[in-house]
Formats: sequence, C-alpha cells, structure tokens
Amino acid sequence: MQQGVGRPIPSIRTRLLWRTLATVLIGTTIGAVAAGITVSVVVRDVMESALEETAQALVVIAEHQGDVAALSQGRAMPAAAHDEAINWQLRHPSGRLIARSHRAPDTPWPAVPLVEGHTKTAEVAVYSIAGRDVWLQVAQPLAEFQRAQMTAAFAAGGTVFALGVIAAAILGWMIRWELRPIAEFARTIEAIGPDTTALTEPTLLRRELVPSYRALSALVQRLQEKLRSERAFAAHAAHSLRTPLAGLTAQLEVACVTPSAELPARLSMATASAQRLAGVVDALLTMSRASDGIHWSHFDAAELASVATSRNIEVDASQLLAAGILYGDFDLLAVAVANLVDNAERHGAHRASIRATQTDGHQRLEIADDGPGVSAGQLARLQAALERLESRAAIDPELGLGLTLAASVARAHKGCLTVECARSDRQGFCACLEWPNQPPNDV
Amino acid sequence: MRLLLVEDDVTLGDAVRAYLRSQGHVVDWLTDIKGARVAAAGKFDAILLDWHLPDGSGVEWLREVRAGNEHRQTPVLMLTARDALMDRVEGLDAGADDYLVKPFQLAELAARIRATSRRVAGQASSTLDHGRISLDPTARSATAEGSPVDLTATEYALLEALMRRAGRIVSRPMLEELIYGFEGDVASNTVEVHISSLRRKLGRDIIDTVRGMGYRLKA
Repeated sequence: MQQGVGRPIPSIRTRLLWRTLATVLIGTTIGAVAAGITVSVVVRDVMESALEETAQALVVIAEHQGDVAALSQGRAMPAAAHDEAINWQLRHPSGRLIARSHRAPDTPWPAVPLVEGHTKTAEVAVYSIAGRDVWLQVAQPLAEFQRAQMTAAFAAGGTVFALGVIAAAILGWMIRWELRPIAEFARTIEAIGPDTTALTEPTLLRRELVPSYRALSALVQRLQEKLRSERAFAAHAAHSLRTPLAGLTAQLEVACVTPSAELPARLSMATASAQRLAGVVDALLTMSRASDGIHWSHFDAAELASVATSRNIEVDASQLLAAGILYGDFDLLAVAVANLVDNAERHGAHRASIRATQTDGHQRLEIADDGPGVSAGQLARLQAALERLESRAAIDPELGLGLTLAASVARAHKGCLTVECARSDRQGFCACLEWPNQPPNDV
Repeated sequence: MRLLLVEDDVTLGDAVRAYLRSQGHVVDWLTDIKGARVAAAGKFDAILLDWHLPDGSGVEWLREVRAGNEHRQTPVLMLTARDALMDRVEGLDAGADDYLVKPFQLAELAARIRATSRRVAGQASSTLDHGRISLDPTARSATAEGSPVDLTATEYALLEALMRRAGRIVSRPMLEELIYGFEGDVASNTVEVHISSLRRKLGRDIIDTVRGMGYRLKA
C-alpha cells in the first residue's frame, strides 16, 4: 500500500507533531512580539513622562540659577500645560512647600513624612530624597499608576488571549484536517457490503492506518472467500440434489401412467432415488459439519471396515486391520470413505479396497478401485480442482459430491486429498486422504 | 423417433426411457461416454445428453460429436443439474440445440425433443406434412387428405421415419434401427410387413420400393 511510486506514506503523528510545533512556535513568537511591543509602549510612556517632568523642573531651576528662595511661596513651577504623569514637591526641611510641579497639590502631600525612600498613601506613591536644605518628593498618583498597570496588563493579556483563541481554532482545524484519513477509513468500512470483493484504494493514506487497511483488506478477502465457498456449497448442494430429485419425480411421473403390474418396480426405483437423495443430504450435512470444526479422537482403523458392509461392490478392508490406531474425527472420516466407495461403485468399479498407513507424522487412507479410471486430462483437472478447494475453499462442480466431501474432510483435518490412477496401465482410480497425526495446534 | 439417451443416473435414465417409449420413441440408453461413442455410429433423430458422466464430460463428447460427420446435424438436448448462465452458454456453444435443467417434467422433455427436431429440420409447423399425408408427432396421429388414419405404433414410427427423410432412400437396416433401436430383435421381413400395411391404409403409391436399396416416400 504505497501512495505514488517511491513516495513514502505520510504519518498522522508526524504531520500533527510538525504542524502543532509550527503553530506553537509562530503563536509564541507573535505573542512575545505583541507583549514586548505593549510593554515597551507603556514603559516608553512612563519614561517619556518622567523625562518631560525632569526637563520641566530642570529648566525652571536653570532659569533661577539654583536660587531656591526664588522658588518659594509654594507656587507651581511655571511650565506649559501638559499631561503630567509624575508630580513633585520641593519642601524645606521644616516641611514648608517651596515649589511644586503644576499638577502637584499646593499643600504637602498628607501622611508623607520627610523620610528618604518610598512612601505610599491612599492616593499617591511618593519617593522622597533629601538635598542640602531641601527635600524633593516625586509622586505618581495611584490612579495613574493603576491605569498604566491596567493598560500594560490588558494589552499583553488581551494579545495573548486573542492569540490563544486563534491558535486553538487553527489547531482544531488542523486536527480535523489531519484526521480526514480516519474519516475516509470509516466511510470505507461503512461501504463494505456482501458484494465487496476488495477495498477501494484510499485517496488519503497515512502510515498509522496501513496496518488497519491491510488487516481489513485481508478480512474482506477472507469473508469473500467464505461467502464464495458458501455460495459454491449451496450451488453444489443444489446440483447434487437435482439429479436424484429428477430421478424421483420422473419415476413418480411415469408411475402415474404405468399399468398397476409395473407399479411396484417403479415405486422401488423411486424409493431408491429417495434414498440416494437422503444420502446426498447426509453428505451435504457432513460437509457443512466439516467446515465447523472436527472432534479429534483415537480410533482403531479397523472400525472403518464397517463401511464395507451393504455395498453392491466387493470392498476389501482387510488392510485396515494392521493399520493400528488412527487419530482424527472418526465420523467424518467414515463418511468420506463411504462416499469414496460409493463413487467407485457409481463409476463402474466391481471391487474397491481400503488401506490405511501411518508414516512419520502423517496418516493416510487410500480407496482404490478397479473401475475404468479417468483420462490423464481429467485426472489433471480433478487434481487442479482439489488444489483450488484446498487453497481457497472454492468448490468445483467438476469434483462431484464424493470427492468434494472427502476433500472437505481432509481440509478440516489440515490434510489433503489427492487422486491418481490405481494401476500403471491408467485403469482404476485411487483417492488418497492424508492428514497429520496430531491436532493442528500441536503440529 | 429414435433417440440416444446418455444418462448415468439409473433412476432418471430408466424413467426417461420408459416415458419416451410410451410416447412412441425408440430410446437407446447408455450410461457413459464410452458406450455413447459406440452407439453414435448408428442413426439417431436426437441425442439427450447428461453433462457429468462417470468417464468424462458430456460437453466434451458433444464437441467431438459435432466435429465428426455422423451427427453434425442431429439435434442434441443437454440434460443437466448445472443451471448457471455460463454453464448454459458453454453447453449451447459446444453444440447443444437445447438445454434442460434437472429436475424437469417428462412432458416438457418430450415437447422440447419435438421442438428441437422441428427447428433442426427447418419446420415451423408442429406437424409433419408430405403431400396428402400429415403426421402430428404430439398426438401421434396421422391423416390422409384430412381424414384420420388408424396406425399401429410401429406403422406410425415407420411412417414418421420416412417422412422425416422424405424424398430420400432409407435402407431397411436403417429403418429397423430407427424403429427398434439396438435392443430390438427384428425378424427379417418385419419392415416389409409394416410397409405393405402402410400402403394398404394410405394408398399403394405412397411408398416406393427402390430395389436393392430401400424405401422412399414418394414426392
């Protein structure tokens, strides 16, 4: 399962990993840039405000050449109106206000002592510093302080939140996009029906799905083979039943217009046909049971000699006596042997022999007859049909019921059925059923 | 009609033979290809052939038959349990004229034999007509100038054999074979006796005797 020649199948994990990493990296970069810009804007505002205020103060001090007395009376420093973020007061060590920035109050800030360092009241944050005969107190209104904090927080937080939402949306879309092969896989499974012979090649294939696709394809093939086999079995059953049924109905039809003296003979023929019909039904049921599993047990090969009784041909089962104990499903094997003997009878044999042998790890039953046998071509066709039955459970009408049944029994025992000429002059027919002498799990 | 039945199922073969005989046909029944090959040396009006035979495929043998000269034109009806489309196609392509799936009604089999024979003979009518004589194979009755003629089964079979070969000389051994098949134990003058009986019932000029060769229905 390969998309394109020499092109590796992409993996959901790899694609998702790289895309997530890329999204996180891009998102983090954008977030960092946005936060940096926000913080720098706020810091720039504060710094610019501080610079402006310092410049305002210094220009006045410069104008008065350091004459602090000239700044007395607590008046606001003369300065152009501006948006003042930082206020200041110049105070005498006695606490008297000497000068102030134009937005600073005209009285000392309450509850702010002349002590070097930071002081915070309900309204302002103040930094006090002592000079020679003078104290400078620089303050920022808490409202302004909080506004700056809020601006920075909202700007940075909002940007990160917006980026998070966008990243989540992108990741959601990406996951859905990357999971399309799974959705296609689900649709493929949904489309599997009784007539599906093979899965359609997926247009979007990912490495993680390859084992599932392969397993599913194999499952579909196995189910199709099973279905084909069951259909073939049903067709085979119908074929097998039709001939004796035709004989039965034809005999009864003739019996209806037959003089009464001939009636017993006609009815006897009809009965024979009905018995054959029952035999076919039994054989079909045995085949069905063989496909459901077998019951392994040890049994004396000589017990198979019971099939030799009540036959219209001579059956030599003497070689079974020396074969010893066999291992398998006695009922199934007995039915297989009986059907192979029936086959020999139907195909013009006068004598059949049953032989059992055991070799290293294998058991073998041979049913040979002295009938006319089959041509080399027909033998090859039969062998090919048996191989198809063994490998694909494909039932071939060419085999007939007896061979199909025996092959099904062999298959159930994990063995095989082979056919050959019984004699070197191509006369006679021999069917050989061979299977392991241990249950399949132990083989 | 003389029919060759090749069917290995004894019950079915016996019933088909009994029924067709009751319909006035002569049936030679064989159960394998080996026997059918020998029998096919004779003359038959139709062959009824099973697909699966103990010693091979009936279809394969049919191909052999069609490749030879003896039964190139003989109607062949396949009797088989195989009903799949491809099977029917294969059977018909091999040279069968009709295909009947088991189980079947014997009356239908007889009708199909008649229909196939008519078709092969190029007849549209269900009756065999020659001059003033008309034969109805279904009712196994004969009329001369529209009036019913009372014929025995053998006389009817003899007349039908001649009418199916109208204008051609049919030898006495062939007539014996067509009327009695392989199984009949025929006295040497049986055919002559029935021919003169037919002449008596249908008119003296209806059948010519071609000296040393056989008989011919007059044109």
